[in-house]
Amino acid sequence: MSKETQPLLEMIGITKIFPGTVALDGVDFMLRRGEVHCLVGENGAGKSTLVKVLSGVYPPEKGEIRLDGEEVKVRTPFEARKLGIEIVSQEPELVPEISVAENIFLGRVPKISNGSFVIDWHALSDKAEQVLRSCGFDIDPRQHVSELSTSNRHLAAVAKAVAGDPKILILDEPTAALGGKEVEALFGLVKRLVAKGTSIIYVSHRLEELFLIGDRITVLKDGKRVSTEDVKTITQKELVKLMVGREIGKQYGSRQAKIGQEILEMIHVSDGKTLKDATLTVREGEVVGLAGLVGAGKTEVLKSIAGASKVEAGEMMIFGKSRVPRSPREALKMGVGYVTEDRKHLGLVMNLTVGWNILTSVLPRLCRHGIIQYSQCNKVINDSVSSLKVNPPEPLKISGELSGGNQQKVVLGKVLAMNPRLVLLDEPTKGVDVGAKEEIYGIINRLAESGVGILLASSEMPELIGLSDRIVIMRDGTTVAELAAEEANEEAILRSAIGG
Amino acid sequence: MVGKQTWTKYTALLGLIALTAISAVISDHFLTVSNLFNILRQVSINGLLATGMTFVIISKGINLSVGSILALSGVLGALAINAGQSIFVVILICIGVGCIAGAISGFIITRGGLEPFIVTLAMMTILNGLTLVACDGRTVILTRRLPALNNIGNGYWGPVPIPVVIMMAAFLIASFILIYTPYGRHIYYTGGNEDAAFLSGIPTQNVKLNAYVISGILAGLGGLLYLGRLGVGEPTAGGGFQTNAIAATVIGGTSMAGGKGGAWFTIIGVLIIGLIDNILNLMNVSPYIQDVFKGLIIISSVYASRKR
Repeated sequence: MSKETQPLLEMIGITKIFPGTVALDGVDFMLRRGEVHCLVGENGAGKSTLVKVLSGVYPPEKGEIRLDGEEVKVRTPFEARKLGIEIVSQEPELVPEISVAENIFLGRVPKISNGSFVIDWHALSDKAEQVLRSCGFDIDPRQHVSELSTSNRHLAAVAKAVAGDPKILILDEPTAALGGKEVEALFGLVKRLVAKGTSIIYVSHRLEELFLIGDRITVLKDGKRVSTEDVKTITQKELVKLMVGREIGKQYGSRQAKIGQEILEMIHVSDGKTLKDATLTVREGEVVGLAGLVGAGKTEVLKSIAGASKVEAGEMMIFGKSRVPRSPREALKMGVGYVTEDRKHLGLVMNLTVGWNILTSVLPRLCRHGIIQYSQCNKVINDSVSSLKVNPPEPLKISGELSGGNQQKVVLGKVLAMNPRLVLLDEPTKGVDVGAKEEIYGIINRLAESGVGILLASSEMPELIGLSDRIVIMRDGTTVAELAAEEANEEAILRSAIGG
Repeated sequence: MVGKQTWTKYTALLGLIALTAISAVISDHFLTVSNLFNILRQVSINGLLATGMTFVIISKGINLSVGSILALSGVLGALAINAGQSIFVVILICIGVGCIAGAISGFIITRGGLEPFIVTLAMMTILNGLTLVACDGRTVILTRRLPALNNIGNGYWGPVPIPVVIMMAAFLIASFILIYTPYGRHIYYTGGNEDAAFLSGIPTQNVKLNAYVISGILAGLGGLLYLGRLGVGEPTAGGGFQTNAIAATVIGGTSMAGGKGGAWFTIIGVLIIGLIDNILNLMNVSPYIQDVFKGLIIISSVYASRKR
């Protein structure tokens, strides 16, 4: 076989076992030179595990990895890097309190001369600037990573990986935290890298993206490879069918909710910072969508209602009374539940079990004479796990070991255990696979049917349009427009969100 | 379902069993009732301090000032006795000192947002200074006998030494709080992920503050036991107590990363340290070398529990 036709990477019969689950079961994966190979599958299908095996995070139990036809061992991320494999994971692994430039060259900082150990700060800064410019990212290399926005932090992580000049670049859910402009910059970069001969493994839940930049798609399901397809010969519908093993019909489901009284009214609310002027209402049984670009203030609206940020000006009516919760505790007592966007840092206690996480807020209610009644606790947990279809349905499982979609269900379970009458959802399906998404949509519909009012912030427009009764659009910290479900379409929303 | 107290980490328990077996083989004297109660009495003060430390460490904090609280409460207790106060006042003073010191540390840590390590380190220095001021740098010798006090330090309840009874009571109450009350569980959430806990409606600041108060109260109680046992107010009594308390907690398996552990873990850690001291004593090993052993045991036990 000549060097051109020989695949760059072959993973053969990869098996990875975690206590209790077979995460990968004899998976074969082949990567060609200069292709974008997408990896899709439901949560828990084994996508992240597979790329982590390749990048040396999880050594596999069985199987072999061949690079350029030669067998290699990838036991640590360091070894992976030496072999020319770079990964940008879902949570960018950067050191917050040092500059972007130092992060980009972490472990390979330029020295003033060969063999010296004195850092050449000028060269570092210049080189970092070059890397960022060639990536097409608008980031100042002198800034500390902690000062960057979430999306720029992700882009900095991409730049760091690219700076290593990898043969194989792995992008794990790279666009989950990016806005439209940044996604464009990233896609531009991917195309330039591929033209240079770099091979890219692209993991994403956003199927539309795969058709924009992918060459081939490998579908994983339950730790096994289902098939590998050419992007040109498969449709999105067929792909979904392969992923879930069935066709997804009405993804967003339907509901017969009776819309009742107003339970939330915000009038010119401002937090004195990002949130400038929010005016909106939510009624019983109603799903109100909150649209806007990254940084438009969607999260800040939810935080101000949930008592997680200070309200500086404006008026708020919650359940008919004029009041502003001063803490999440107060908000919960009123009946306001808040599901945060950042599951890992703000949602769950990852080293506690699923059961304990579900009980987080509700414990004081499960007491008699100040003593926790464990029989009641178990009932709450079992109800929650079975009605939300947490998979695996094991309350004793450590939350950090669940897939993203199931973690999200646990967060929902925690909030719903309090029986809130107003639920605030911030990107509830971020990083969640198609199957779990559908289940979460079902949960939202059932909640609305039971009379709960829902305020849903999302950057996925089909989701907003599919679920909401009304959509409120934000721009620059201000609510600028409102569309009824019938008149909402992506174009109209985007026009208001961008302005002009 | 929720796994009330996870006994998944058997490493410390296995270590304790192994140590007991080794000790029994090495010394004939070891497995006698009097020696076993002797060990329990020797660990009782550390048991109190470590129990309090467990609350603090689960909340992802640390309290370096417990030894100093012990010394100050002992000295003030002794001065109160010499001033003619009753045993109730003495108990109140000892516990009150711990309560106030813990509350101040906790207040500064939560409201000021400062690192627990720094705050309690400073508190340790402050309390050491206050102790020396109070007793003018000298050991306070009791000028009158207080039988009740002597009883607390040296008495027996049936065959069981009173300090052991006090320690066991503290352990049981602490376990109860940690397992059966919302406050106890809230410490785990706070230590595991403070931001998530706060957004879930847990009053994380009060949870942490209370952990320092509990730790302080138990350290003050430790000071009372120390005073009762030795019959003097010793200003330099505190040295080494905080390291032993932290060591026992960590050896037991309570994680410095927060959110994990429990009083039952700590009791095992306390016993392991006590056993090591006891067996080395029985073998006539120099007390200086004993500290070296203790350090090695800490490292190896944490290493053993590193992976579950």
